[in-house]
Amino acid sequence: MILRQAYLRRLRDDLDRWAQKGLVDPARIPAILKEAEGSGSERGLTSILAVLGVILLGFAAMSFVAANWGEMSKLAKLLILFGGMWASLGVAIWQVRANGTEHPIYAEAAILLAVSLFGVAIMLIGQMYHVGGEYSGGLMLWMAGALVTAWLAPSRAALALAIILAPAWSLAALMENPASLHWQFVIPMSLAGLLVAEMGWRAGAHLLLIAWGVWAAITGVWLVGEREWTGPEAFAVGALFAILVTAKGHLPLRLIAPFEDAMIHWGLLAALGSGVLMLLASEDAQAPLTEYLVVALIFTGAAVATIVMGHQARRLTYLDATALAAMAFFTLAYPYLLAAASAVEWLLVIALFAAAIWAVSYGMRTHDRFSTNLGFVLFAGMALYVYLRTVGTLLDTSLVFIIGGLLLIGLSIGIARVRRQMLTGSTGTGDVS
Amino acid sequence: MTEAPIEARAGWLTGFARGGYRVWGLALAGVLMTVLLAQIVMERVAILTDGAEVRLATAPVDPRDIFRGDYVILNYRISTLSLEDLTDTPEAFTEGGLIYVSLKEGANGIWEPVAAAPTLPGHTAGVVTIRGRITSLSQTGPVTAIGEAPRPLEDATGIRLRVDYGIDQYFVPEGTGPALEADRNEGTVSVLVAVAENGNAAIKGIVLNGGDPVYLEPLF
Repeated sequence: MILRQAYLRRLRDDLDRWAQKGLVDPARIPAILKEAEGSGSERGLTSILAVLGVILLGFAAMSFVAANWGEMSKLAKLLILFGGMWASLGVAIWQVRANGTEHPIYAEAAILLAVSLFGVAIMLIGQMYHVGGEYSGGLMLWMAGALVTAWLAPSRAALALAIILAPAWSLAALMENPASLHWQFVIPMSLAGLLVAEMGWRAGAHLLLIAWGVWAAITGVWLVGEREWTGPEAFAVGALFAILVTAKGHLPLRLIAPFEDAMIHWGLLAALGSGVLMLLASEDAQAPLTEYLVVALIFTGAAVATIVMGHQARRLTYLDATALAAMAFFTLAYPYLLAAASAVEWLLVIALFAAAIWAVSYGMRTHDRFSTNLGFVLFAGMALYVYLRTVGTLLDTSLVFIIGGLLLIGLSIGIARVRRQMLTGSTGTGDVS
Repeated sequence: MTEAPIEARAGWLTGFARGGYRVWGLALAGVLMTVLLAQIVMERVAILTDGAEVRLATAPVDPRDIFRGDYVILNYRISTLSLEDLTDTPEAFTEGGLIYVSLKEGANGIWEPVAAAPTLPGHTAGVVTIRGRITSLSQTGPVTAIGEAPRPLEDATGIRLRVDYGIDQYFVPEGTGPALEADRNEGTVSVLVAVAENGNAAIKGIVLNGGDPVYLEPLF
């Protein structure tokens, strides 16, 4: 809802600006806005109420199971849940027959309830037969049921549930068996990715990327706790993975089209966030493990190859491709630099300032406000970090900011000159994706 | 970044999303979910009806599971094992790995561990093998001095395991957990467990003071 309001505000601003430039007929603006608004807000409220209703029914079923009524036989309890699941599917089928795809929210709510009751039934069977603590098997089965339903129906609600359950499954599996990496997550989430792409579902793409992010974070904790990686090694691999995701968002593939914005935004956020965390973990320095080198090299190679492909497809300018590749190589090398010399974290501080400036520049050139804002936030955060680190001597602090300020002013004058030279030059091919 | 047109969907499942919902797909999803649930139930029922019956010593306490309600934690004597008593190859066991514990009936009717292996051993008369997962693995042995490096595993005089057999929770009707605890406090509690040939186990009932079961699980 909030995002939709923000979009409509932005659209109004953009339309006014385009009207002033003569790109849009001012007389048509009200019609465009009406089309954009549609009955979205009303539909959004209906959807939210329907989903909340389903969640309450799901909790009701769960409480019913947890009460473990002694008065009712196991078979009766099972039949109630099976009946509820089939009744929900019946409602979905009836809705589909009655409305087709006209009002999918009721069909989706009924499918979501059916898949939720499937999960509750798994828990009930666990309770009835005193199956001990392992949650991962039950969660995997629930997720599989949701994923299969999402594919067969096809249903976005079931797919959303499957995507939400996947990281929970990973977490449970790692807690039960901390010795092994939970790589199995990749299989259902790849299938979920194909379904999201096939549905052309942008919100699903965001949800999927968040799930991948949660899994990456869980895996990072596992690497540090179980495989004895240092913080900088784990965050470096996280940043490389995120750079790879950002680069993939620039590939002109039809499969990636619905994910494009989500991949670039989440990828940048995760890459820069991991960079900051790498900085904060810099005290945890030791010679990197061979295991780190292998994993980091694979991700760096994949990221660089993807960046080159994005550049060849004219989706990434030379500047952006160079910036992303430099980020990847610096990230790969950072744990080694940290182990080899002292005060290396200041190199990373400079690199993060550079990344912030690049993110602002990238956002301005591609009209991507998210990247611009992200760059500004990172820049402000880094300025605060420098201040807090050097606050011991105010003279040093002021010196750092004087040098930084002069450098930036010099940089802006330099860039302006280069830009003028390029514009007056013969062939300026600053293609902007 | 370009705004992807709606036509830019991948087309390897022709008409998948554009054809709207599929009634047969919804019905098939329901059938598959039902079959999956039925399969779990039947697997449990098979263990309870065909599995070998063993009696294990335990001492319960009473917590609660947010999803599955009240239950009693069953802490078995065989949940903690000293490997040196059960195997000549302690290095074959890892934390998070599987363990197959062979049980033999003692004089008091309680089954005790006699051997342990990382894979399912062959069938021996009078022996029932139960499968578990090693949740923790710790060394026992001479105490190291302060500042001295921990001894390598092969120097340990013993290795202690915590094992989860998937039978450590006994779910009870809401509010009846304390009653079972009171029973426990009055005497010894043991658990009837059915064990399938592949080592999978399921709880069959609760026994007090070696007598008849006070809780006996119906199949349905």
